[in-house]
Amino acid sequence: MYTSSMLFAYCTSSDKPSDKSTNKKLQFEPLDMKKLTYEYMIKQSILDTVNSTTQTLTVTYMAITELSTEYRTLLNKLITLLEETLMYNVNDEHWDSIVELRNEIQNKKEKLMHRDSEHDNPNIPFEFDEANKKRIKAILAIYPEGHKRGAMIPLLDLAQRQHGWLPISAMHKVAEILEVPRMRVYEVATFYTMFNRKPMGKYHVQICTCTPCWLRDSDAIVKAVTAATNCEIGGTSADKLFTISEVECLGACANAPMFQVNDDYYEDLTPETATAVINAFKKGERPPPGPQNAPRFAADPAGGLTSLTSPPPGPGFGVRSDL
Amino acid sequence: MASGIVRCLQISRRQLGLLGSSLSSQQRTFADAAPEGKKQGSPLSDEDRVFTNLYGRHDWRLKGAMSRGDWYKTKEILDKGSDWIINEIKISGLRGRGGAGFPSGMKWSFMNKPADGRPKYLVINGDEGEPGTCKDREILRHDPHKLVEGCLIAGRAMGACAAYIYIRGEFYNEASNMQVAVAEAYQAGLIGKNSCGSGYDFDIFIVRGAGAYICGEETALIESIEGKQGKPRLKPPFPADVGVFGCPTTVTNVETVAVAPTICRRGGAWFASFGRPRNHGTKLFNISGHVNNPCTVEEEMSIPLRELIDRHAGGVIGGWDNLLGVIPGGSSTPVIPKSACDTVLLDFDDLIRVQSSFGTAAVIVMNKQTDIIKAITRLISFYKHESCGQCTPCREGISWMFKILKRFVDGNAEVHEIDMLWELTKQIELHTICALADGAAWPVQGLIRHFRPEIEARLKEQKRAMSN
Repeated sequence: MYTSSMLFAYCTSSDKPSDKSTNKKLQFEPLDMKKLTYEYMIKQSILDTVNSTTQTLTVTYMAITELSTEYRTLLNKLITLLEETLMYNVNDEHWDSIVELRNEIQNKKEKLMHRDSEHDNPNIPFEFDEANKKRIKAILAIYPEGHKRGAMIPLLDLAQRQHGWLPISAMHKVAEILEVPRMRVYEVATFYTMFNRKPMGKYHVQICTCTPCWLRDSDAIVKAVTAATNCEIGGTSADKLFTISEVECLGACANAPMFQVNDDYYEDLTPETATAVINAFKKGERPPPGPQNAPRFAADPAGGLTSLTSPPPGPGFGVRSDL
Repeated sequence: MASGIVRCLQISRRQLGLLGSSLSSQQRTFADAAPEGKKQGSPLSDEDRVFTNLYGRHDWRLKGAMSRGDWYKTKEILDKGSDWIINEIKISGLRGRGGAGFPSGMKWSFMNKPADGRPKYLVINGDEGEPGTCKDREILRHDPHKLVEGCLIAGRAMGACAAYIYIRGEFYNEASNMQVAVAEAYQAGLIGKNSCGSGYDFDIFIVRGAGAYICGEETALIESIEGKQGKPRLKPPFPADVGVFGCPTTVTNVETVAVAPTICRRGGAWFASFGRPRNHGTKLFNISGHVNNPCTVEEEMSIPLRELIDRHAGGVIGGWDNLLGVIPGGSSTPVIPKSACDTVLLDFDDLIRVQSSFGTAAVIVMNKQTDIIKAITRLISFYKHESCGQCTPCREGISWMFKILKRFVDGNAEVHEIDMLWELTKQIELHTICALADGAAWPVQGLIRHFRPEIEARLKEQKRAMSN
């Protein structure tokens, strides 16, 4: 990353001021109205555009180079490992690490670009079902004239809910409905973490491991969940039932540690209750969401209420007289 | 995330610091200059709590909400007009609850300019994602009508035609509760055409995000509502001039808006009777981490930290003497050591005194069994993940910080690198479009400021282990 910004500095060095002019730059020149011709302004804006395009290109270029370097290192590692298998009598662990490396390489490849695959390519048709078409109509109605594009996130969300994950043909469909270039949809779909562009398990288990949960031992929850589902972080279990991910703060810190399964929060977990919740999902049940240490109901203190013990006052309580 | 104006606070803090050093050796704060008032907060009585259904023990729907006093004389409040409402909010001394603490009355009055033909919008920031903060969630799921009514009153004060409530994507059930509440209010004629029979038309729409912490920054939130990537805009123009869909917009936190109806009903003076001067009101506190009973609770501002933890959270695990430090206002505020925790009051000014910040009042407690370096490193990995990538200091700088800190956790670094890290945080802070980078730099600064001996000890320990 450091090299990227260094190179970045070189690329834009054509207008890099020398030491003397640095001082000059700090003194604001008074605006000369005569200088502000159309030509001048067009020239300036072209310069700005070119500059920012160069910057974007450099950043993209560097990201690609970095990724390819990483890819190459991984390949070299794999080659070494495979050579070892030919030379020595290797144990199972060795094969495990080869499989792991292969997975990592696959991930790197996928990161580089969208690759058409059997289950995800633009030729697979995608159509919203009737119920969702009604919903789309309702969603579009809340945006003012000429700002249909605002519905992009809700529509992508609908598509994901209908299909289970977000294939590229669904993105194209959304672009078609909103009448925007496809690129605009790709931008949004890749920016937000809730859009899954890979097939998912039936239950998406998102374990929060951010500091407040970590302080309450979320590591043990991760361990329990990965053991109960027999699947690693970031992976999908063999029966396509669970996808496990480690996520940033889910905003239930007073009920830590917790995880989210699809739309529901399971809070106040221990390794035992976490395993119990996963096992219930395996049986096809939907365990009741919320705190798993009854009688705690929400974010109230587990040791008994310390506030709001009296019934809430009714309408008109304490209201000012001049109203 | 705290709204962008957090930076105003930072700047004023610096200026005040300068002022203080020139006047006396002690750091001066707003409260010192303020007129005489309460010296500290004390526990609230139940009848003074705004959020009476915080724990969801009662019915959250319209009928239940009305029985608890919501929607009572709303028409009369609307009839008083926008100046009256803004004046009440000003009297109450309410400061934004999203982290920056900007005076709400003043913020709302920015919208009261002569109309130029463009509609005005109110945007509610429910993109709660700062580690430690979970207060808005309780309002959204258990007291949604307080927010709906608050939107109407705040909208009236600003002359807005509609409100967009932006709720983070993960809060699906909370957003559904909110949607039900809005539908109920429409059906009862409380909002929509001729809201509450006052002749004022007002719409409320729910928008769900899709999992990006940065969308809690006000301009990023606006971009997100417009269906773009949540990347903060350069200010000016401020949202009050050019906001959502190019129209004047005010973005406020859920809690700020949800307390507005109660303030109007019971009077600004009632709200101002709580807390120290310039830090008035009641506030939802989230207590998480190493306490016996983590919880969310509404308390008076300026309540001593120790009293809050002991009274509501059942004390620190292992006793008060087992306390290592506290992050007092959500992940972007610097950690404070136990010596400061003993006496500090939870309000904007007193936390500035101990070189931290009130933020969203999300208290993360850490006891002596905590690996503090790892705890802060986990926070930085959060910021690294959530940086939108627009500004180089943030995109690259936070990655560097994370790499350095990760080596600190293992003890695989040199002592002089601590100074390097400090310098790095100074280069990141205040050099970006939004305050996310500042929020990432401050916890690291807090760590170095108070726990430098721990880091040095770990580095030396590792050296010794390596040489043996």
